[in-house]
Amino acid sequence: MATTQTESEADAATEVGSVELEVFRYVPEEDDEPRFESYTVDAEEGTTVLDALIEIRDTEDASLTVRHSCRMARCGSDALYINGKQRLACNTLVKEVGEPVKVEPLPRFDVIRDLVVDMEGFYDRMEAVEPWFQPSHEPETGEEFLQSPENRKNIDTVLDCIWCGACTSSCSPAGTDDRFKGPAALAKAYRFYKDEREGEEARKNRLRLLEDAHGIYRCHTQFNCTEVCPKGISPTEAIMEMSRDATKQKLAFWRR
Amino acid sequence: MHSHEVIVVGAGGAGLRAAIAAHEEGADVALVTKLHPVRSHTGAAEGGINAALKDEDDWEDHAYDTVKGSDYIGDQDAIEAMTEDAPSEVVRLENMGMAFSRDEDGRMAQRAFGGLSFPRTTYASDKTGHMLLHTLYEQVMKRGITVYDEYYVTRAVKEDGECHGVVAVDIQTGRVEGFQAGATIFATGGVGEVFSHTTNAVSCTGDGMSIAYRAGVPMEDMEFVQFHPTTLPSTGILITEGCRGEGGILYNSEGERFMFERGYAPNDGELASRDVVSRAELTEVEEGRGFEDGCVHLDLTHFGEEKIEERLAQILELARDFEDVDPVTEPIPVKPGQHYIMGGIACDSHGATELPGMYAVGEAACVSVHGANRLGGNALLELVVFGKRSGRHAAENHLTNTSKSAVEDVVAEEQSRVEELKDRSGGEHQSEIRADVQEAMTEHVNVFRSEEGLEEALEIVRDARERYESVNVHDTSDTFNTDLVQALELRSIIDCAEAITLGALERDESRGAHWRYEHQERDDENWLKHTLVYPGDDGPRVEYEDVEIKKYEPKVRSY
Ligand SMILES: Cc1cc2nc3c(=O)[nH]c(=O)nc-3n(C[C@H](O)[C@H](O)[C@H](O)COP(=O)(O)OP(=O)(O)OC[C@H]3O[C@@H](n4cnc5c(N)ncnc54)[C@H](O)[C@@H]3O)c2cc1C
Ligand code: FES
Repeated sequence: MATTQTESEADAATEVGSVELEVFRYVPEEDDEPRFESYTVDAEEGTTVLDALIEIRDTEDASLTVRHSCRMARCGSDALYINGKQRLACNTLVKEVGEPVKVEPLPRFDVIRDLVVDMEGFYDRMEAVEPWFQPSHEPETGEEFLQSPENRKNIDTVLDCIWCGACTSSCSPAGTDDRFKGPAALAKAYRFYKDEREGEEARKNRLRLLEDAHGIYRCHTQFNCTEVCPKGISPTEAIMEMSRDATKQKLAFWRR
Repeated sequence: MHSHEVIVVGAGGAGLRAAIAAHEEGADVALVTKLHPVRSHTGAAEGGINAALKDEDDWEDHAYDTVKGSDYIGDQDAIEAMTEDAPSEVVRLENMGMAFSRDEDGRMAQRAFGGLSFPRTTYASDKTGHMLLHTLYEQVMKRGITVYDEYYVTRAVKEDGECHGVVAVDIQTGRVEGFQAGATIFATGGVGEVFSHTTNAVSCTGDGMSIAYRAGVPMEDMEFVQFHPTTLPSTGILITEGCRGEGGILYNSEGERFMFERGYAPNDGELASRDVVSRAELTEVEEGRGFEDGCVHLDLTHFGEEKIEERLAQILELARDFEDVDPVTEPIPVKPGQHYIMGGIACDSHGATELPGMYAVGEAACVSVHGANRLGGNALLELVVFGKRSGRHAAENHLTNTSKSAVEDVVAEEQSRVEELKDRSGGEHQSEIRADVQEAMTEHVNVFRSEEGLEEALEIVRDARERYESVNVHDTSDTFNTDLVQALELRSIIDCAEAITLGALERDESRGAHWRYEHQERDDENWLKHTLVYPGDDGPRVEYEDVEIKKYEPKVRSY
């Protein structure tokens, strides 16, 4: 993220100069093993890692492959491992991460080619939490469900998830257990769990679905996911809240 | 070979809504998309979606605002269909779980937007598109609709004057595959990549328009391109009109609130229609009252941090991250940038095109509801209203006699086109040709257009078409070859650029977003008509069609 700078800095040339990048390369038909390739690009103050990769692709090596689309931290296509941290290439400035800029695909995902990873497992995890609205009742035609502004505000941050996979890549339990739903999917579940338009019944069902051996209790509360989320979401806190509620629900059951 | 009753190409808001509607009608429907659905550019929409929801509001006022906004060249029957359906479609989104912002009474919140006579833009913070896209995709998952993601559609299969499906490259493996379908709906989005300064994603390359055009379906009203007045100068990233809807002010370098003080829009000021504001800004800059980079200033500092964070959180993030400006304490530099295309694949208000079996919807389509200028908040609305209508119509009327061998033939032809592209040596790399087209279009086919500039642009675009004959792809791999995909996209870009420029050159009047230096007035006598660009043997052929006028006779448009 762009850091605020003093005026004298801003007045100085916007040129940062040439910057070196070390980029992970792997083309299955050509390479037995992944390799790193070094490139040098001219960067300015505002040059992002994605800009630099596109520059390399357009002027130096057209075979360099990276998923990207919106260029504005919205589509979630370009989560990469940049200087040892999961970040979106399009909102990471070259000058902020230090040289050389080491760019790798997301750890804990299979590499298809270069910086492109296989997202299918991630999508399966998302689907496993039944990520669709389960309203308290069937509305009359034209009837809108009411929701208090406070309730809407409570889910504002988790709603911003762009499915980039940065969190899931940073999560060690997700790395060892393929069926662990992982931080993104659990945050998605939380988005519905907290939405008051879903009734009590739906809320209980959601917890039941998340309580299996690959659900909320798998979380080690390491906060890695929270640290890397480019949207400032804290899946860890969402998971902790659901775990507490699930435990309470169980206790209530045994006390009966 | 895949086979479905209905194939929807594209999985942004329009494609997803169409697929849901077709599925609800009981059709076997599948989505084919070059991006995974949630990566689609609908996710970038910020400000909101229009609907006359409130008791004090009336859908007919919404219809009139839209007709006026279109500078009287939108089809009034289609506009009425859209605005009348708007309330139920927006409530439908809410019922699917979409997280709109809320008023104190728990109902969906609405705000003011440019060109609207009532604050009817229903919003979800400044992330309306993101919420809409994800909500619709959730419903697609719930219904178990098949999605072929990361498949790049290259061509429609046309046989005996009907559309029998499409052919696509599986981006991950490089395989060329056929999709046989009784109805094919193109929901492929806009054309931002035709220009170098745009709010659009790099995936907005006009593929659907080009594919339909090459199958003989005309592109309609392509000269009407919207330039949004508030984009960030360095990246083209959009700063939503919602900022002005909430009370944001535009200043020139002399500290004047020029929209009022210089008489561009004495009544509505900053909330005049987009074409009006973009022209005003560039006039200020040209007359020496702008800031660096050809910008003016958008000031939100009087809002206070809390209001910005609550209603315009994304703007805060975007301005800070991408322009190094903090809107809480300083004005945001903004300038016009390509944003939207009013034109597209010619179709009726069920999305049906001239070619039986082929439909179009969303930004790729021209129904036409936006005419010469789209109102903010009407594009997302178009996606859901016409998404539903086209999905339904396609499910009920799909062809039943499509030919598998016709699809197979086209698979073979596209296979050899792709192979040939990859094997070729010499020639220029696709990225060079692409850059030349984009620069020429931004320079000459922008907010202000002159005959000389348009002719120059047309020459550059036609030259690009010749250069494309020997275009070179460096990457020869079959796995995730984006160099190849970009080369395929470049042909779409050239097709759309040519139609835009040609339409603009022929239309010697000024209307909505199309402004001609030599003809600065609207000319209803000669130009109350739609432009249709057809493919011909020696390049494009231009025809015209009357505008559908019902209640609202054209009158002078002022804000
Ligand atoms: C920054 C921004 C903000 C906006 N804000 C608003 C707003 O507040 N309100 C409003 O009403 N409108 C807004 N708009 C306009 C509106 O968002 C778009 O017009 C609309 O989202 C387009 O949706 P779509 O479904 O037609 O296309 P897209 O969402 O662009 O989807 C296109 C789909 O087609 C697929 N595709 C394309 N080509 C191919 C191919 N060759 N093969 C296979 N698949 C293909 C893509 O994968 C993608 O899934 C905004 C636009 C932008 C850019
Ligand atoms: S390119 Fe879309 S999130 Fe970075």
